[in-house]
Amino acid sequence: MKLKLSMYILFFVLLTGCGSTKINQFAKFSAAGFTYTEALDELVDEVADTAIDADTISLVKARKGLKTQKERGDEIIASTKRLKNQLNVLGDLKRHVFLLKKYFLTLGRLTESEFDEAIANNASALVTEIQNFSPKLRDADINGTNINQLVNPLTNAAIRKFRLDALNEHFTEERVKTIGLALETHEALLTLLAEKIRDDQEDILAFKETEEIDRPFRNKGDLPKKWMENRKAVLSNRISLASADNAVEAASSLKKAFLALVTTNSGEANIDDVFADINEILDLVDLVKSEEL
Amino acid sequence: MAPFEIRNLIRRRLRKIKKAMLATEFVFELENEPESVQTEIAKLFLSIHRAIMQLETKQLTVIRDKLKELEGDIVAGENELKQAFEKLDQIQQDLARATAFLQIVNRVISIAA
Repeated sequence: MKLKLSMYILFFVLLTGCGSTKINQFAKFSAAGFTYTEALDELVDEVADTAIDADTISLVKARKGLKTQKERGDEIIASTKRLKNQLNVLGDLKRHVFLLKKYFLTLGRLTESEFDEAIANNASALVTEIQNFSPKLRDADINGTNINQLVNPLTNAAIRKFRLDALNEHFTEERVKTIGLALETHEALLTLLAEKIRDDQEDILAFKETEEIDRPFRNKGDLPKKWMENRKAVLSNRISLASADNAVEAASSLKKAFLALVTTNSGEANIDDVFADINEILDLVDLVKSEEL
Repeated sequence: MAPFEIRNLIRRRLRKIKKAMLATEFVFELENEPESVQTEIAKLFLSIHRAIMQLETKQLTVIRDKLKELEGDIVAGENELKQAFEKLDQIQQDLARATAFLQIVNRVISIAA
């Protein structure tokens, strides 16, 4: 009987030990999700900033076509309204990103082991106190191992099982569908945002190239003081913007990692790819920030 | 082709036209044209810019609305995860309380003995 009991204990500890791999995968996924939302949040901010600059430049360019005071007055009011409308939608998207960030944060907390040691220590202390009531309990053992020595591994195994059960219960078919659909929609969002920021920035740079580089060169007289540096900056930044396409992969790789995690038992989710793609978003944000007018 | 894809296609084509109209070659050549042509082109440029803005905003709105539909379940999921996490916290606190109580009982017993 004693042998059977110890085998059960060993089996339970080993079984939940396998579960810890899955919990670690969820921990990595939630970390990737959280980092993704942080990067996306920054990207949305930068898209909004660049949209304002690009809209301003377009208005300046179009002003020549507005001959009367009324036409110019009507256009500036309509343009500002259009821009505010777009900025409001971007604001709504930021709120959604914040919500998703909170979700990944909470998912991550459930996979963290910050309580495990405290719970195991408290359980061990509790057993010690119970054993103090009776020498029989104090000397109780299973296969020569004092009960108190088994408390720690058993408690840790029980906590792991609790976490795994909570995660499995959480990721119902319906929820997997929701998160999958959200990440799929993010693919479209990221594609649109990356294209928009690239195109807006290209408009800004094209305007700068004409007005600050080409026009002064064509005109008579001395060139502006920083003409050479400006020319180099504008031209090299235009080349770097071509890499914006890589950023759109982040949502796609996050979705792939998520589906690998919840639909296979191995949990072979390639989280490293997700982090690499998230870095592309941050690179794009940094690039646009460095080019600001 | 889905409406979102059609908007994507139109937006990308308009962006190409806008890009060409912002190029130095185009700008300098236009300056040699009569005032009426320059005004007409400036108006056309504005129309293209407006159309791009409207298409972008429409596409962003479609995405926002899709994501909003999913938010209820995401919030419910977060609450569920929070509850599981709070259960762990509760277990830790309960164990600490029970241990503290038994420590006192053991001390009372040892003093009484």
